[in-house]
Amino acid sequence: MTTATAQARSPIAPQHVDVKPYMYVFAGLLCLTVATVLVSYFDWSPWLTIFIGLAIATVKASLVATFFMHLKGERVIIYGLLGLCAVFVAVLFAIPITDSQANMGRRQPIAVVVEEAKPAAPALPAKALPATP
Amino acid sequence: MSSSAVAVNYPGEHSGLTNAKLGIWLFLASEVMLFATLFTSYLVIRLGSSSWPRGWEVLNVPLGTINTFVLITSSVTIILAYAKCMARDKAGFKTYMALTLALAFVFLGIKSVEWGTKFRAHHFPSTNIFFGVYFVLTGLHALHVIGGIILNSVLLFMADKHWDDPLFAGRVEAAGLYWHFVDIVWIFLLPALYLL
Repeated sequence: MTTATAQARSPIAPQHVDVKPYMYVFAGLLCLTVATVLVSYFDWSPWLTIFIGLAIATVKASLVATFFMHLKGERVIIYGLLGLCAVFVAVLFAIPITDSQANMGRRQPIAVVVEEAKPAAPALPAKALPATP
Repeated sequence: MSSSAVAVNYPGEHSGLTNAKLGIWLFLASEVMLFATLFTSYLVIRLGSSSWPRGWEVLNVPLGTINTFVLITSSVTIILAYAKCMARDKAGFKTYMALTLALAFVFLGIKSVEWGTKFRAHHFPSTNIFFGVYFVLTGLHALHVIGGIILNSVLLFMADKHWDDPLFAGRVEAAGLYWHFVDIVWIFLLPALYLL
């Protein structure tokens, strides 16, 4: 029996969880949120602003995943699962963005064809019913 | 305890994971793909647009920032609830889980104020592509928050009856993982929509 299994077979026994690291991460996340907002007010080039903003967001997400979601010290199978997921996400981002950049100057506007409303056909004169004998 | 219950409750000898933990991570992986698809669409639409408003010109940055603080704080309270659960402190668990729920409602309240303001200004998903993206992304995220509220409420009200169930701590951990994922999505939504 593995150590993990042995521990899990007595789940009702109290286990102390040190919450101090969570408080440090919490403080870090709050500071980084303020930094994200401040960055948006600088008059830098749009691409630099986007890069810095998303870089800070990535650091924040990594902190949450590493400490709050306990990825630090997680099982190998979870790393494998998330690694596979990351590959698919990278492909998902790379293909359309690369294509979008490559065709930046050659893009044709999307033609939107709106059919004009046709005038309603004139009502046919009501035929007089033949008189019944 | 039957052998099937053992198989569900205890970590597999090879993976070292319970079914609940492996299941929630697989679910979160599928959620990552869902939001990645939407973020990719957002990027392609934005890169292909001749003009795009700066988020802070049309959205309420202070409210978005406050919502970020609220959600990050709720991530801390749910992990404290898990810590209390592991320490077998039921009152502490219920307090922190109730705090998490309260913060989730605060988040939705602020979000509804934002949406209400937009609707009163006649800004709808059909108004333009920016608001289409804004309402779809924040709306889907809000649905996930509602899902988390339901899940956490069930755990809060199950606590008295199932406190001694060996499965309970695993359920709390899974709910916490889901809630942190909801937090991570918002961490990316804030700069993408409000700031950049």
